[in-house]
Amino acid sequence: MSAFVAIVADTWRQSVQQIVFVIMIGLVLLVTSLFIVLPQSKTDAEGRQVMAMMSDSQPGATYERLWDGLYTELVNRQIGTNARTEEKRKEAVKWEDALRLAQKDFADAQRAGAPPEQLDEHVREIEATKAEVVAANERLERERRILREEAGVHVEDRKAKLTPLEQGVQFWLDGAIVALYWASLLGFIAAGAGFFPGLLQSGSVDVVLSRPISRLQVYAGKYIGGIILYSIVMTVAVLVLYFAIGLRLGVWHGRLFLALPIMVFSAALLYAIVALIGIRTRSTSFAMGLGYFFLVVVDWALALIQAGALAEFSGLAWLRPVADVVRVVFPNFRTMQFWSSAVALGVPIFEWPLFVTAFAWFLICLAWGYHLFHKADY
Amino acid sequence: MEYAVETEGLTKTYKGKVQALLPLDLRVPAGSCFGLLGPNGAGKSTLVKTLLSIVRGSGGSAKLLGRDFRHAHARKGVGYLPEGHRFPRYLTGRTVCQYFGNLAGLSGRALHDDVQRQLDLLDMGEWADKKIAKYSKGMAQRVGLAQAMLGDPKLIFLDEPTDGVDPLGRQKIRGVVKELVGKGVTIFFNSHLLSEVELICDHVAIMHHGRVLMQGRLEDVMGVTNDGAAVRFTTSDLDASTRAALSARGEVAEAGGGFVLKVSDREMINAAIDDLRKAGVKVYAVEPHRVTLEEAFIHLINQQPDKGVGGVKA
Repeated sequence: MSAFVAIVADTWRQSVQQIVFVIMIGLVLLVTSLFIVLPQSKTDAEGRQVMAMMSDSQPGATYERLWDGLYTELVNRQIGTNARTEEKRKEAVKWEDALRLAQKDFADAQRAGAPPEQLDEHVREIEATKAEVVAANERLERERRILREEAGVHVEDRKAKLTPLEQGVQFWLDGAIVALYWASLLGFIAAGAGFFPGLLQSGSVDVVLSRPISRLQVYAGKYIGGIILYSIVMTVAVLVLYFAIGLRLGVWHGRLFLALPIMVFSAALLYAIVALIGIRTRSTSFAMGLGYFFLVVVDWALALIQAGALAEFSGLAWLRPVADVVRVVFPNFRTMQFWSSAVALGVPIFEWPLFVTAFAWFLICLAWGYHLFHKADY
Repeated sequence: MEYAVETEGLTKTYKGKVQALLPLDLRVPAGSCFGLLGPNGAGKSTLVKTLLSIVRGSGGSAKLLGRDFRHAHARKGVGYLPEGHRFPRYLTGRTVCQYFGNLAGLSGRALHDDVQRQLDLLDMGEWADKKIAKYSKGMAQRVGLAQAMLGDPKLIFLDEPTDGVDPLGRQKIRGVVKELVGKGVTIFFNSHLLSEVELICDHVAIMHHGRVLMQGRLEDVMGVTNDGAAVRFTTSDLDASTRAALSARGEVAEAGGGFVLKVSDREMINAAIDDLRKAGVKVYAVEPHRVTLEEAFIHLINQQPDKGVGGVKA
């Protein structure tokens, strides 16, 4: 046990020596401070206590409205608006594709000098398809309206239980969670990228491996050490945020802490990927570079593909099944950030298939990293 | 006889099919100071790393202190100082020892006291709380030796322990090693400094191209070239005719300030002295010539058909 603790402790010692770790702490500190210092509790024209920025001379309902919008969006996601409207959306898309095809056939027939009766036939087909498109879109809108109303009931119910100030502060703290999520992950890539390559340096790893501890203990100690370190930093940041906002504005928003497990899980997945690259290449720069590439470029691209946005934008029908496959094959940090944000606002969203994908990646990266570490010669 | 290290058919083949260790049988008597010799690329460091599972063996078996080397607990009671170690520069001498002591299963007061004891023993007590980054090569080497001795191991592998250490430091390390051997600790000494091995080791093995060419007591290995009597003459300059006359008595080899004459019949020594007197050569000293380990080593390696360096390509 003392050997395992020694590896964990060494990871901490290693990190405090790294400027990148200090930068990570600095980033988290900066974000936390900004979200503590900027908001204030002010009285609006109607005599209500609302949240406003320091510079707002005429505080209003801005942050209540923002809370309303965000809460509605989250409730929609929670009650499965997307899933429930998906079938109708697909139907509308199918008719739009059919319309495009009919219009193309008409243009081809015209170019080929087809007789007028054949062209009339094409025109009739186009008109009929157009009617189907309109009907499908109406059905989709009707479904969305029903769900919006359903969500509206939830939102109004919640709204009735909160003061305007609480709504504003909850929206603000949700923003803090989003900012902390990204700032901490960006910082953690830099800080964690060197943990394994540092351990694997020739002349350093030899003595570690010559001790009566298994490689599994060494690997687990180094990995868990990094995660504990991240957890401590984030717990402190959220604690500070909770108490500072509570003391300054009188709103004690304990749900903030519910975001921590999702943040830690995201960091654990990202660290498993970075550790795997670090073990494979034995290079801090590579691990850091590829870690950033994954989070900033690949994750963005995957998010766009998964949301079906690329397929909609480009009009390429084949991108739609690709989006469906990508959604269940790759994890997405944007989705996990959304979960953390939602749970902090009191709307827990847990999309099992996406979580299973993320967890599978986490296990695969960890196991693959260990396999490489276990079989390698040093 | 009890052995601290035993290997049977141990092999290691690296990627690219380089056979660093061919089926290798080695026995290191418990309580001995064992020197492993060999030219660069002979497989010495690979052997040590394989025994400690830093490098994964490809076949065969080995035992450390009677335990199967593949299990982590086989390394209990084993210390190791690697060649060219690079301890984390953010650690101090004391924290290096505490860290590796923890990894060896030590903790608390026992570890604290042991660290202090070993650092003091190697005259590093005053520098214990300075960062490794500020240490000279010799100081870092002493800290490396200190961490290898933590927890009173029964077997210590030392890979080039005096590398980069000044003469006084070398003497200190030799003294510590002798003291350890005196206490019954087995020392596995890996060095290319043959004179040093000769000074402190009682058993040696010579490796070449992943094979053990010879192993045994130091005097037995050094005796490999003593197939006749060798006498060292310290004389004034010899002329060609005298040299030719001496060649008739035995094998003549140049040596600083004289020559070494190797004869098959001891009577030839007298005859050689007569030759020198007759030629008017001044004889300052005549003494038995002891074959050094270096000479024995070179003799053995030169007998090998392939004198190149590196492992064997399979």
